Amino acid sequence: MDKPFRVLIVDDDVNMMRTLADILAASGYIAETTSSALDGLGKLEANPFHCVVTDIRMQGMNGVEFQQVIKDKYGPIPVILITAYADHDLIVRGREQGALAFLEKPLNIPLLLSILRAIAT
Amino acid sequence: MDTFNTLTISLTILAAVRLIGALVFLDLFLQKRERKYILLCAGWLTLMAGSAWGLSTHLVRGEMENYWFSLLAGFGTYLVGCGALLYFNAIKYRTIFIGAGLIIAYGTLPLILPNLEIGVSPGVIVQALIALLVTFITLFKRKVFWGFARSSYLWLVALAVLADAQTLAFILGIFGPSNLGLGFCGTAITQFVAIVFFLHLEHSISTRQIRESESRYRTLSKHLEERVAERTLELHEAQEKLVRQEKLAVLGQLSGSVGHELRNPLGVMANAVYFLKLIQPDANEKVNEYLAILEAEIHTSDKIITDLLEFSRTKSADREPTPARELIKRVLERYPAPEGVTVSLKVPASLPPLFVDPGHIEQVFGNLVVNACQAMPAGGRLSLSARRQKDMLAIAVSDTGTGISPENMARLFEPLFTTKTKGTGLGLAVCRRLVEANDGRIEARSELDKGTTFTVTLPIEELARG
Repeated sequence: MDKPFRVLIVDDDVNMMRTLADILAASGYIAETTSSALDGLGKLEANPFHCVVTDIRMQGMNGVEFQQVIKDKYGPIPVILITAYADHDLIVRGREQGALAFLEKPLNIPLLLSILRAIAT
Repeated sequence: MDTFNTLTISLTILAAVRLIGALVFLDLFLQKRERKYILLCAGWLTLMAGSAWGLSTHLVRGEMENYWFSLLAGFGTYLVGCGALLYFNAIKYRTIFIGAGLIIAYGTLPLILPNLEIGVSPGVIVQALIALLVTFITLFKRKVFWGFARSSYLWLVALAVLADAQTLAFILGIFGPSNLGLGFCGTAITQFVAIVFFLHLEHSISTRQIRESESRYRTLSKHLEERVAERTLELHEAQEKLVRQEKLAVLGQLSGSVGHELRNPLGVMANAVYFLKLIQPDANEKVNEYLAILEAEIHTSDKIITDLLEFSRTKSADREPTPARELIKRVLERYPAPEGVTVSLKVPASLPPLFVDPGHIEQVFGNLVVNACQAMPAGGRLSLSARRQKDMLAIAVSDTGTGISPENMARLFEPLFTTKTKGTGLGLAVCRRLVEANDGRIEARSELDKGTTFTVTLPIEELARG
């Protein structure tokens, strides 16, 4: 990676958000975290990101709505959706909106890292 | 004087017998409230009135007044005859009135015609004709005696012959005015016998009716008992099914929500382990070992949760023609038998293809094969065989393992029931759900220390498509 690859992690489970950020940081990414979609939009406003990893089920705006807003406002930023639930309708909607990937929790970290690597190169 | 005494006595006896007849039928009428009894009662009363009239005229005038005596005797006999015919269902009510017209016509005859030379009025002739008619009709309509003892039938014939013989004797002049008393005694006896016979008949009819209704009641109650038992079983089964479904539904909801909720903390744990491994590539052996243990246990927990979620998911079968042999072969490739277990496969390629969701059915057989292998820790023989069973295919998975005890057999397909030290108890419950979602059924037979056979019966393509 020539320039720092910035990933925004959005999850209302603080420990999930933290551990994921630490893994990404340890793997050479710049990971920023936030626990709500609204805060996430603030971060996106402040700084550009190469990729967004967001939980689907969250208080307030859910991950798929968040994905829609990102698409409308910032264009084609790759979004990876993660969830612990069988939110079939939301997953289908996310896919239709062009989500790059959908991962179930517990996350397959090697798979996530390989996806990120693929975006970065 | 002899004649006087004989006549007095015979007429008294005759009147008494007829009174008995009237009372017998009055009693029957009061018990049963049927019109035919009142007709019979009226007949006997009329007969009694005739003999009483004869007796009183004889006592008062010294000479029996013949006209009213005979007319009442004729009319009484007519009523008794009609009652008897109604009793045997040989005539209809309206027929009685036609006959009544004839009686009145006959009754007026003595007023027009001179008294017959034989000393008998037309009333007696009417009596004889009616007795003959009753006998003739009852004989003709023999079916009214069906079901009675043959002796009853013979009794009636004998009675009719007797009654007619007596009347005939009058008509032929064997009993003339000189020995009228003897004739009346004969009449009294035959009529008494008639009443006794009738009571006997009535008794045998009611006994027969009671026996018939008893047997009908027995048949009905047996039938009813059977129906009740049948319905109770159906209800019981329906209730069991409902309870099972209810349990499954609750369990499904519970396991669904718990499973999903657990995936979050499990995900965090997995991340944490991954991170620790990532930042400590040179950690000492113990740390690495314990991280590996954590990782393995997280993986096992995730597997249990996946089973739970699998169970809670609503199954709808996406059915397609699926050759049984290929399906079983795929299962054996995916879940190879451990060392020491020999596999025998008897699923002919010539069998018609199944019409099932291949994913579902592979999961079912995968589960059964894994279970079978686990039941043979010391090795054994795993047999898979299929045969056609009408419009279905029965595929059996047998092992030569430890077997299942009868008390465990009953609970085999219950969710959360397990004999394994490690297991969710959902495998067979999921199997049954999947098989049923494909319009099939699953059964198990087992013998302790000999082995277990699971038979999955599934629809075949051609018939499922109709």
